[in-house]
Amino acid sequence: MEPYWYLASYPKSGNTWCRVFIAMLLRLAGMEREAGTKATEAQEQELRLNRDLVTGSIVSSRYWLDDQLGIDTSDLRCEELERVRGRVGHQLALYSEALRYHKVHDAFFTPSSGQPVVCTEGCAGVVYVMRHPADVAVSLSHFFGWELESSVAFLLNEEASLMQSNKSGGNQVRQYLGRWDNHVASWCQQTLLPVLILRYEDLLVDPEAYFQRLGSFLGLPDKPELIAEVVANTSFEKLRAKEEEEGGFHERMPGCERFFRSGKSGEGRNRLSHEQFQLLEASFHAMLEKHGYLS
Amino acid sequence: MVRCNCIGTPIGSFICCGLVTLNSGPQATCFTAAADGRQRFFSLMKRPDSPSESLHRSFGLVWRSVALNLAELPTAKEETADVLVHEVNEQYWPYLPPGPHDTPFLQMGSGDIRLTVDGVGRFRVSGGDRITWQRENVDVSDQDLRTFLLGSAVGALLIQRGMLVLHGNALVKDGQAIVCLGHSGAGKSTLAYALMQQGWRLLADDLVAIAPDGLVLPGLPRIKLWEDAAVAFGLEPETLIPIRQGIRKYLLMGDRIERAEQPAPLVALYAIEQDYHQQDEGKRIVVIPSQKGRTLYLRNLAYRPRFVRGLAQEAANFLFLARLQQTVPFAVLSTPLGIQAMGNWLGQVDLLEAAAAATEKASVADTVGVS
Repeated sequence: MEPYWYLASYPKSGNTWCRVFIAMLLRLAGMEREAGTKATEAQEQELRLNRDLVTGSIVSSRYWLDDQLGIDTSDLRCEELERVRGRVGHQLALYSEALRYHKVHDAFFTPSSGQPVVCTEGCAGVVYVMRHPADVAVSLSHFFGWELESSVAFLLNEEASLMQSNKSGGNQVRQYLGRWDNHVASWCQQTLLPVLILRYEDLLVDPEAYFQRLGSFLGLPDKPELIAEVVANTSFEKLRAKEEEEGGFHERMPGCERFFRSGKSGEGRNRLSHEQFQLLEASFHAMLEKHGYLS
Repeated sequence: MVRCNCIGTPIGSFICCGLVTLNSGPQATCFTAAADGRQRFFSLMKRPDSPSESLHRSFGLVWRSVALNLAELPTAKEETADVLVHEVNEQYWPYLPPGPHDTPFLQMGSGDIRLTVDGVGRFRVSGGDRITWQRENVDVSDQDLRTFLLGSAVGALLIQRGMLVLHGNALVKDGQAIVCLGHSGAGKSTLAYALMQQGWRLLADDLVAIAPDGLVLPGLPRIKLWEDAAVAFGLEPETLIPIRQGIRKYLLMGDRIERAEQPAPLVALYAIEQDYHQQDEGKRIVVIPSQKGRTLYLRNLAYRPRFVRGLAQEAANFLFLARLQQTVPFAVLSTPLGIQAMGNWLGQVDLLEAAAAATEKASVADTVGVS
């Protein structure tokens, strides 16, 4: 069986940037192939990822879960679905050549079963992308149209989930995140899968060095010249220009003007109130220190 | 010798379907289930909420269901049924070798499919004329079983019978049918309910079966609405039946639904999408430019394409779809966000005609990745 990887992150932490990088690396290294089977190709179309992002589906896609389970997952209670999610999908067809990198926003363990939310069998590893929670707060508020205060509260909420309404459906299932530091710990401290931790801030400051680590970890070509070319092609300015040109990126939320918005670090310190910033740093002190954010 | 009342083989033989009628009346599984010491007493008892047998009509077929009243389906009076629905202990299901399209929850071969719904039960659909089921445990309600049986199991059976089965709903006006397709969460049920408020009648929900002559068959006469949508339509959730206990999604059936009961000719196919990015009003209904793109797109809107592949019906299905596309216009419909906006918009558009009148929109090709 072909190996596959997860690209895990708290929302708005650089996951998409990494997927764009991988797609571009595959293309420039001449490794891009005709998308696996007709079926997976059609699935990808349905998932409405922009064509350059054909790297693999998000594991919380309802369409994909319905397909694997053979039922309408909106007929399941949240805890029933969480109980089976980790057993879904070590299928060859899903993890075909073109679609080997799977985006995940869920915390690694589900709250109701305590089991991994994703299949771990045959998985080669996890790339966990991390970003300072104050910057995440600013980005969340733009993406969802929330007040900054709500974004801060969301990062601190032990029960935070995406798609958490139980009164409406949608094309993704509920994704439990928990507190920001719970999310980081769930992926970075688990021992079932090898993990590469990348900080968004490092990707900004020294993209060549850190994207090279990404390429090596995924077993992809990682010669410095190639990495530099890919980095130049996937710079924030390039992505943003492309978003304008294509009239919008498909992963953008209703009401969200742009997906690729600022691509900077340190916005949180300026935009959040002093109290909000302090609250985040104090609450997440141990985790921030562990990952070098306080030095 | 006690013989199975279904196919007449001696009880306990390998191919016995597992049904026997006891003198006292209730249906029971074969007593060989007891031989290995793993007898399941619950299946020997008539459940108080299930009449022992019921007859129904749906998709142009007569369904005989034993020990599980398919309450959502209209009743029938025929003597002979096309399809038998009954309980059989899975240990009497014949061996099915693993297939290339199997998943941990689905096993499929030509004419035979096994589905496991964790916490609910197992379903087997075979030969295009039989659905067998087994509860996972005594606490599983009839409604829980029906929820999955009337979706995936019935869909699989129709596919086995060679019907073209699409994922969506069908509505009728002036004796003509439109079909609205889309994956779960696309907003099909909300659109269907909004159309019913404009005088359309519901012909089928969730599963749409199209006969070779192009007629859409009357299917499941109910729709399922999430609480948010129900409230937006002015319905009171506390007066509605939840699809299953603990889920805030409700069944609308009976006199809450305006039903169409006769097969109707199909005049338009729509793929439903929610308009998150607020298109301008003139571009709500567009055609996908290339024939290949349309075919791929439509094939993916079949009811569970994995079943179609696993049951070896893909080639037949593809030909059927290709024929359909030559005769029925197909367009992508982006529904306005919000019930009010949707109602207003539907009041100004004729969906019987709109697909045929729709034009291409270049950026749709990008959206669906067609080159």
